[in-house]
Amino acid sequence: MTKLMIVDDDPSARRLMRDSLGLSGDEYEIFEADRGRFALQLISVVRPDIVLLDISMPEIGGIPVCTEIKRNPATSGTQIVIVSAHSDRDFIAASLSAGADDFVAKPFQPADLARRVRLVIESNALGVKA
Amino acid sequence: MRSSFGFRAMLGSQAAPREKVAAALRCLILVTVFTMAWLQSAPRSPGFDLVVGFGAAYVLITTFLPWSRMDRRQATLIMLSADIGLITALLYTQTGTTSEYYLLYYLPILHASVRLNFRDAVATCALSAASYMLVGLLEGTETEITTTVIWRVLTFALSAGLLGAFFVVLAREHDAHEQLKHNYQGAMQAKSDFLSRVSHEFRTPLTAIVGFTQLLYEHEDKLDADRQHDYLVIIRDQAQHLARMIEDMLDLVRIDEGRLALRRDSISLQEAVESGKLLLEDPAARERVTVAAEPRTPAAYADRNEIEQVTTRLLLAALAQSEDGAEVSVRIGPAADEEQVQMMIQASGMRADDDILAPLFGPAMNSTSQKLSSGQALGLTVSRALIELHGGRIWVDEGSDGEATICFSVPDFRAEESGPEVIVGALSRETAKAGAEANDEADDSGRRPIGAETHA
Repeated sequence: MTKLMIVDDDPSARRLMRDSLGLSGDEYEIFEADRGRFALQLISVVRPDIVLLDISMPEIGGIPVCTEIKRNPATSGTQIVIVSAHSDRDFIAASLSAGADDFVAKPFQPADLARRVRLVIESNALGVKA
Repeated sequence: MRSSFGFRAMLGSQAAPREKVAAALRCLILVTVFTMAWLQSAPRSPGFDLVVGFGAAYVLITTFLPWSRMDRRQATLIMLSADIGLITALLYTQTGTTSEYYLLYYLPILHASVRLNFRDAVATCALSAASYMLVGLLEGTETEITTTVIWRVLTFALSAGLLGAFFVVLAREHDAHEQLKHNYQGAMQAKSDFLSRVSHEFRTPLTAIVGFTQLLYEHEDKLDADRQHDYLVIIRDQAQHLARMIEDMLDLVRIDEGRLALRRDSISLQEAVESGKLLLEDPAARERVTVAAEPRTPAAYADRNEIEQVTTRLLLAALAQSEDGAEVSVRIGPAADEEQVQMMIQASGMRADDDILAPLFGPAMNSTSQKLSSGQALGLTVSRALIELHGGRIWVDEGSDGEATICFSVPDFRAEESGPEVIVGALSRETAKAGAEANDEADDSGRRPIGAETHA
């Protein structure tokens, strides 16, 4: 089963992402982290296939977390979808520069999130970048 | 930067159209002057060859000097000095100070005022006047200086001086205008940044509202009653959170525009905190808050309603930032070094270096940190503005272990000799009447309930 990790400091946003994916019919083994530093520790243990990552979080923001995941050879294969309310071009560009595979702006449609996550996973399986 | 004159500038494909026009005009003027000089002095005067030679050198210089390596001001100043030199040579080799060519000096002066700045125009005035006087002096060594010549040179020097003074005035006006423009742009940028951050803050509760509503709509058949109830609770809480953020923003605008009136009177901070606690909608959150006041704590001189709102916002921040279930302790007592009463909010796990507390530092309208994530920024920004409007102070104390204590102080009642008073936001008493009316409207709506945060 695909391992998916949700990293967001807002519990209602984490629940929304978890339930959006669960109700879409796709099956994931879901892990959650509410802080960037904890997420980095958890990722090295869990080794998720894909991470849904918020940008604005206490301690370490999502962009440095994304950079770190992609920099570390042990985790660089992890797909990352940034899910953020910062939807202006600068943030999207920064996310993609940090190695993110896709960007979903908040607020999002649950079905759209599920479709984008599926697309990133399928693209990875085919060896192309979403 | 290319010279504004010279064939390269005129013909260069990269030259701006304005530069091309300027270069073409200067060439035209040069050709006209040479033609006029030649016609007037036909048969050619002995000095005319010198002028033609100078003109040719001028064209060569403007064509072949590496203007692109110079900045625009430097290049233009060299050009203007060459202009003045050419005009001076023309005057000297023609009929000297009796010639009407001295009028040409006004061209570089005007050029400097348009292309450079008014201070450079003043320098060009001085150089022109000095050059013309030099022509007069050189002429005087050969022939007797007539009264007419003296008058002409003096008149020109005077007109150049007046022109220079005019440019000095313009320079000052220009500087003042630039300063205003700079301030305006700064204010617009700050406002734009603020709006951008506020829009981000609004998206946080909107995400939950839009998302869970859509899940309820699309998957009603798959969701059991408990789950549907959970979703409705989240939607309700986030809608209240959104409504509160809008209230906070309106408060901030009212303070900024001087429309928020404080009705200050003698109040007990302890009572204000207890009332502020009741505004927390989550009973579990209320249970976590303990309040203690030192004996003989003086009454504060403040607007009770606003202090309650500030207290609730600070409690929400403390509840959100502390460890799950940790006690949030509020202590009230006299401030040590001034005639103020202070309140300190402490909670286990609340860190001083956390971005969430950033709005308590820095200017009120500008302090919503880029990294803020919890939707607390607006509330803390308003709290800070309100406490400062009271003449108080709000800050975060960092303990040796890095734990934060949110503190604020407001004047105590004894320190203020006056009785009940209405003061208005943005520190403008002139708008007190309008502010009081705005406050009356606010009073009509009653106290604003503030829900407990459900997220960190």
